[in-house]
Amino acid sequence: MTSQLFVNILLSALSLGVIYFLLSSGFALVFSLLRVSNFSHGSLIMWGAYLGIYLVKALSSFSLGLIISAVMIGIILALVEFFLFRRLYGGNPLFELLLTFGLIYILDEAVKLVWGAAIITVDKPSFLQGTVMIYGEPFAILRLYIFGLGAFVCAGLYFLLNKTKLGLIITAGIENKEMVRALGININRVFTFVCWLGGFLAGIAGFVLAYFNGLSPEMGTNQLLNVLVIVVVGGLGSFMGAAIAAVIMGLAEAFIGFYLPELAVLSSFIVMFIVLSIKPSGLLGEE
Amino acid sequence: MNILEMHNIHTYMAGFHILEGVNLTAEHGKLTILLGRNGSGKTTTIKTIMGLTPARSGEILFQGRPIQKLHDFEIPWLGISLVPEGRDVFSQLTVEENLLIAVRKGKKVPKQRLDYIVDIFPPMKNLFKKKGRNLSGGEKQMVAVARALVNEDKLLLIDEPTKGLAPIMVESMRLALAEIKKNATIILVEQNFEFAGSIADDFLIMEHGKIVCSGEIGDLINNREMQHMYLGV
Repeated sequence: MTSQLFVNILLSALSLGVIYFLLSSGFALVFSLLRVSNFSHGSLIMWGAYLGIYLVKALSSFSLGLIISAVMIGIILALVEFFLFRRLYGGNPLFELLLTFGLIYILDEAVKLVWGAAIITVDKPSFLQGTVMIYGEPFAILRLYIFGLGAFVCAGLYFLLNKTKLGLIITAGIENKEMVRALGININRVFTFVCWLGGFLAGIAGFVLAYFNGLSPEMGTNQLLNVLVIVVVGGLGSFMGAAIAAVIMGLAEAFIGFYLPELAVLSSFIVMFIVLSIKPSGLLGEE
Repeated sequence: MNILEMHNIHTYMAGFHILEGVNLTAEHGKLTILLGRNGSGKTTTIKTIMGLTPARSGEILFQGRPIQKLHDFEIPWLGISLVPEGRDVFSQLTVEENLLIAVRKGKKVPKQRLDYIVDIFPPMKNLFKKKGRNLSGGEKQMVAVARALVNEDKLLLIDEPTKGLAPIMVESMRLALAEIKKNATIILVEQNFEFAGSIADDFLIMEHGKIVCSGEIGDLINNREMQHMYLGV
């Protein structure tokens, strides 16, 4: 392998890792605080894609389409938390499973009602078309854009979780909700905000995914398995673990795909098998 | 004047009747010690005042105001702080952040409160950047009490502060509480009778979810029969 080719695969792997990070970060954040496995996360990603692309066309603005759709997907999940999840805290996990699977059906069918079931191709805006030369190899501008977006989102989340009082409350709430309440903090409001943020991240992920895979009602549920594998590999309840796992998954998929293309489909499971064999609680999960 | 009164409080947990009609009063400016054997309902009493295990019936008055129907997160805003039995220092946060998260008004711990905390617990000044998970048991207890001091609250509920501490730490906790009680009313749950007797003004003894005996601490210290009957001392 030439060094140019290696750099090209590495960059592709990292941009794939960034996409996986965007896909899984919302799920991981919601799970880490609320301990709710939101299986409808994939459907929210799909809604983010459809709504985002619709808004880009309607408003003739790429940035506004991205931001407004992500905010709206956040509001959907915040409403779900306020009216539905809140009734299930501390109860039988089966109810939460049934609720989130029910949401998948509602969200998926709603998309079909509005936009139909056919696959829709998405044209990239002119500024994301073409390639740039990096280390003598062409690299898609779209992937560079994803890098930038992923880095921005990651830095924003890092700042929120580590440098603000709200971040302290979220970190403390993950560990001990009762003590947070005993300090005079309305943890239910924090739950609603975290769900909004989880939905916001799902919205961004869906928007990005639309420019790679186009739009289809199954696009979100198809990603759900990847999301779950990343969250398990990162360690259940560890947001940072999920971020690291997403990058490892991207690297594994790109390099296994290059050297052993017949095993590329299984790359995420190979990583999961290796990580869980060494550390059953995942990369940053607590024993 | 009573800062806190509980009238005929009944609390259930997981279907079990834990508090079976608790009546108690805590006088303003005093340190009242809540004694009793394991499982008598001391911690549940503290948690019921805080709204963490809400009372099913009865009345709790704080400075004359009924509080039993308030949400748990509203009660600290009245000026009540909890130091829980398990300390519950957040392990992922630094000591500084553990104090900061407790601040209710403003964005940082007021300097005069920080100075007050360091005066009471001098070793704290070297702990601010340490993560909660890296603290010893004694250090965690200091942080848990310090966290309850950042807001200048009127009533502190402190659950077993000497549990699992080395004798030298128990003594420094005794000195700290003696200092704190100059500025706040304290209700202290404690099993260590010697420790309790050395700092308390009043006592309450619980048995089977009820207050069975109360009075000035001197009366209990001088009554061996009562100590033996209720506390097994």
